[in-house]
Amino acid sequence: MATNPKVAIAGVGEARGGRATGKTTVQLYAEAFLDLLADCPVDPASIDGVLTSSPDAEPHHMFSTWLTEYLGLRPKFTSAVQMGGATPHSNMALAAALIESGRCRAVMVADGDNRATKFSRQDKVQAMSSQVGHLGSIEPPHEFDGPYGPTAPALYGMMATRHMYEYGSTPEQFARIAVAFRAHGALNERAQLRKPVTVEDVLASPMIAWPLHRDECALISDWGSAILVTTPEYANELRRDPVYLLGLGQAHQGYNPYQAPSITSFPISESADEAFAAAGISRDEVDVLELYDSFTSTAMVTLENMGFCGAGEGGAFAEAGNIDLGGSLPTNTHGGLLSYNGGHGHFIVEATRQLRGECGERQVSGAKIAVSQGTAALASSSITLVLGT
Amino acid sequence: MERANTVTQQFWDGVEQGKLLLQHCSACGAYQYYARPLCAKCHTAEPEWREASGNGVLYSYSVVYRGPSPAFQPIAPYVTAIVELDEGPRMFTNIVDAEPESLRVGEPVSVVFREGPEGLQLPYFRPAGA
Repeated sequence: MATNPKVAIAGVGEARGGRATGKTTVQLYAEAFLDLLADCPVDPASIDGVLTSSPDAEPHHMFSTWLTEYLGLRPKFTSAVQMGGATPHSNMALAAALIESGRCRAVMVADGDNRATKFSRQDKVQAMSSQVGHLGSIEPPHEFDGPYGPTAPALYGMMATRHMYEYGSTPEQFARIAVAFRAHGALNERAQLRKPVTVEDVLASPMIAWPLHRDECALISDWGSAILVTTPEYANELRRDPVYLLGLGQAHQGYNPYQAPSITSFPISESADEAFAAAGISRDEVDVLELYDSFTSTAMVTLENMGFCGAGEGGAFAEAGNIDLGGSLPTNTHGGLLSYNGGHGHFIVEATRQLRGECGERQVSGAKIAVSQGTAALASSSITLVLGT
Repeated sequence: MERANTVTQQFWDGVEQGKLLLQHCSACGAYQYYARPLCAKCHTAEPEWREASGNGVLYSYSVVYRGPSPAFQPIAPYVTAIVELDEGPRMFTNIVDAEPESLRVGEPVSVVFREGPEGLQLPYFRPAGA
């Protein structure tokens, strides 16, 4: 383990999100902020960095500056980042740089969107495609893919198809991943979907984009999350059990799936190698893994690319129970995007709570090392965070 | 809709004439798709245009049951695909003139020009010999 961590997490918070709440995006951010203040006795006046997403469902010019006004904060550094599903992970890396450089002392990494509310009266696939990925657009700069009718499930469906071709993986193996995460969500009172499912149930759910079924696709949710990133010294003033950032890694290779050298092998391996080396740990020391599971194919490829199993072995790895609570690598213990909530910041929140031992029925006993893995743009962007006690 | 700009004009002019054009870098020899004002491999400005063979293989695909816009709902299910051209670059496209169940990753495909659901002339691909 890194003997001298330079960055800590002093608190976490979440909005009451999930299915359409009727709340606005800034309202969800505000709820997460209040929940953070309840978790951690930080003086809001001492928060000198505010990093946010650039929301999709309710876009706003200079969103992070509006949020600081809305919350009554006056930071010396703020930025609204757009890194898709890896936005909170990207902001954690930026926060770490601000803390390590001494530029900031207490940075709030916040995230939120009210997609369930905003998209509730539209066809959700259309809304997600056109407003989040701009996939329905046929106008420049989307003129080379938009006219062919892409959707997010189709892009990740192509990932699954290629994986089946290269490695012989099966629909049952992809479905097994959804079964595991739903079982975890069933133990989480805040999860959007809590009814356990079987492999047969997943494969019987409606086909969205072959080979991906509905139960293999991320939820569309309202959400808000807030994480206070600070120095180890300040974190220890604020609470007795801070969590430390032991290592992080990043790698980015582009955006469009058809430009990626491979759609089953991504720079996830580079960011994971960098993060584990920085933390000074080996993969078998990881107690809990929270990985971005936009689709079952994303989770399959991420498990393999991170090196927790070999290329093409993700299906067998899941079928052997490794990713289940009680397995060798409990994964998405809150339920992930497939069961808990479609929001992006919860992976880091859950990793923190697991390390603080607060997770009740879904607690991984004695968790000391938790990894939160963010990916985006299929998985051409990868950010790995290694957290520890 | 105006889809062409000063960088992409020649590509779309080619499509209107039934030609699939790729950019070719005279410095490093790389082909690239889509159109850019530089070679993304060696960063030399202004790659030249060359007509592609129109042949390639099916790299991967998905069958879309829920389209992204009203134009695509009536034609679902349809096949989105990545095709790897013989020249090297990959394209996002649709596979036409084939039953989705009959498709195989790695099978040869060739270009065909059609008007799409939104009234635009586009390069599509179909199984070679179809």
